[in-house]
Amino acid sequence: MKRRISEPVKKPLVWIGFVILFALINPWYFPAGSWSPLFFGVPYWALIILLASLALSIFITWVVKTQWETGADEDEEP
Amino acid sequence: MEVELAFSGWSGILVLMLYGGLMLAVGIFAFLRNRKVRESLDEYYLGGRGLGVMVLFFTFFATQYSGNTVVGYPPTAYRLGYQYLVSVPFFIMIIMVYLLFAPRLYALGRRFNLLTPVDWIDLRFRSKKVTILAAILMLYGLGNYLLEQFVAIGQGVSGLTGGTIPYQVGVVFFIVIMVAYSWLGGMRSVAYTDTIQGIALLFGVFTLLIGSLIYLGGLPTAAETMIAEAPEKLGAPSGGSLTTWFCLLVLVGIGAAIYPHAFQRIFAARSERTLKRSFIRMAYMPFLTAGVVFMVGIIGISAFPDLTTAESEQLVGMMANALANQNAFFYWAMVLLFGGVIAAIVSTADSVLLTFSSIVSNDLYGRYIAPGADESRKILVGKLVGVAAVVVLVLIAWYPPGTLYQIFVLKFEVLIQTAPALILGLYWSRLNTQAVFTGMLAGTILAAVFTFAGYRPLGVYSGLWGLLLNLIVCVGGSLLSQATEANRQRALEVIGWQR
Repeated sequence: MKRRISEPVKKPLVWIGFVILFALINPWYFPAGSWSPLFFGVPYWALIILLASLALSIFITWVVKTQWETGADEDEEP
Repeated sequence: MEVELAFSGWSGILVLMLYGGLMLAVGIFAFLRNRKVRESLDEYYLGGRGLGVMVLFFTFFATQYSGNTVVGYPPTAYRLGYQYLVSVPFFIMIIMVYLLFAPRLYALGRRFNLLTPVDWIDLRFRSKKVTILAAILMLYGLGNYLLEQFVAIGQGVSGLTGGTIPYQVGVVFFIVIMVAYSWLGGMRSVAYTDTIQGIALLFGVFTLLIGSLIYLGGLPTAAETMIAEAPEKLGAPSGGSLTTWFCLLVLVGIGAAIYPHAFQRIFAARSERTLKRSFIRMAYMPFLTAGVVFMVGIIGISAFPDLTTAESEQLVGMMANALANQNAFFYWAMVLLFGGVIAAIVSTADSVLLTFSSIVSNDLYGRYIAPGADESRKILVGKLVGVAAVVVLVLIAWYPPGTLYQIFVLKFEVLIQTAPALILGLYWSRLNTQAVFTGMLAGTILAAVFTFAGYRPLGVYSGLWGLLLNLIVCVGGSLLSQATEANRQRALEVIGWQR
């Protein structure tokens, strides 16, 4: 049986996404030591990091759902 | 993580006995449902390659989150403040790293019936010295990891029962139970108990968070304390803290994904679909676990100000005490929480022990010592060597050697050195066997020397320096020495599966 085979590691888009999101989950782009404004006691930069982390989780979901298809299980079934 | 809980004596003992009984029952259940478990390596070590989404998810969960996540992370958050928020994204990094190798690894695992990470290395490189070096590094790293869990079980039990149960009795009790259910049902037992233990842990941390929010003040109160006393705990990281942040993301991401017991679980999935769904769930768990315990640590900053480093290690115990005094609900919830913490440590230890035994069974005994032995014999040897290792580790835990203690500290640093062979080998047919061997050995030695000397150039962790050298040798060596056409062809036959 012929199936479309797709591996995340071979997709440039996946790498671009991972590199950008990796850059965003490192807090290098905030002024050192800044924390104001606070939202419900949480510094603004921490919220941005959490949002970037959530974006990474969502991106991972997309990658798993659409970029990963090896048909490994069909190999075995007759 | 020595936590003394004044609130808990006999009720702690009761909960521990209940947990122990429940785990044994799971082992018996797994055994009765599948009596063939002792006759096949696949059945014993991989649950017959049939783990479904829920169980697979929780068994991945148990390898990543241990009792230390609950008891050790809040004190770190307490001391570092928001600089330790990195504990949320670093768990997501693990899944990201998985995606770079798991799809192909799963497919190869199915095609070639791979059982252990070493099995994969042997298939790819067909080299006795690479296989044996990788097996030794993994057994060594896993052994030290197990040792750490045993120490934690003992401290947890004596803490939870207010010292009523001595450290040694706690360790022996749980190790006997753990070995019993692992022997009875193999991977199925381990995965089912992981599920129960995971649920207990999740319940515990959420009640801890809710209780802390109700009785100990919320994040705004904590922020006010930090503004007044330690604004650096609120501020965005810079300089050295940024390097630490970066290193943790890379080290935990790669390290935890290629932990042998984590790696091996990919082979245990029932189907590709199952594996995919488990990964998607895992991608969101950091918010519910690391995120929650991080908040608990931050709340501690205003609830228990001015603790010294040593005192802050007891933070979760202090908070649990404070909550347990409020009412009966929180009293029992906190007893369950600490039972859950111990269960989580046991669930990490059982996974490590099973993988340890599988490498002995399949890769050392089965491959080199007695290739003709039947599978039940290989399993038996793995079990016995596993128990022997446990006995030695328990003795080390009780009588820590005065000198050379540091050789028992190396884990991550050593295990991560198998990453180039495991991951690069999946994709690069030119990767040269000699280069892989030299790189793995050189990386391990460098990481060990840097760790012993306490040397951390540029603030980067010793394991990463070792990995860097390892990669340079692997890649450089492979590029310089042309792989023979025969070797490349052989490699392509294995990894060129998709053509």
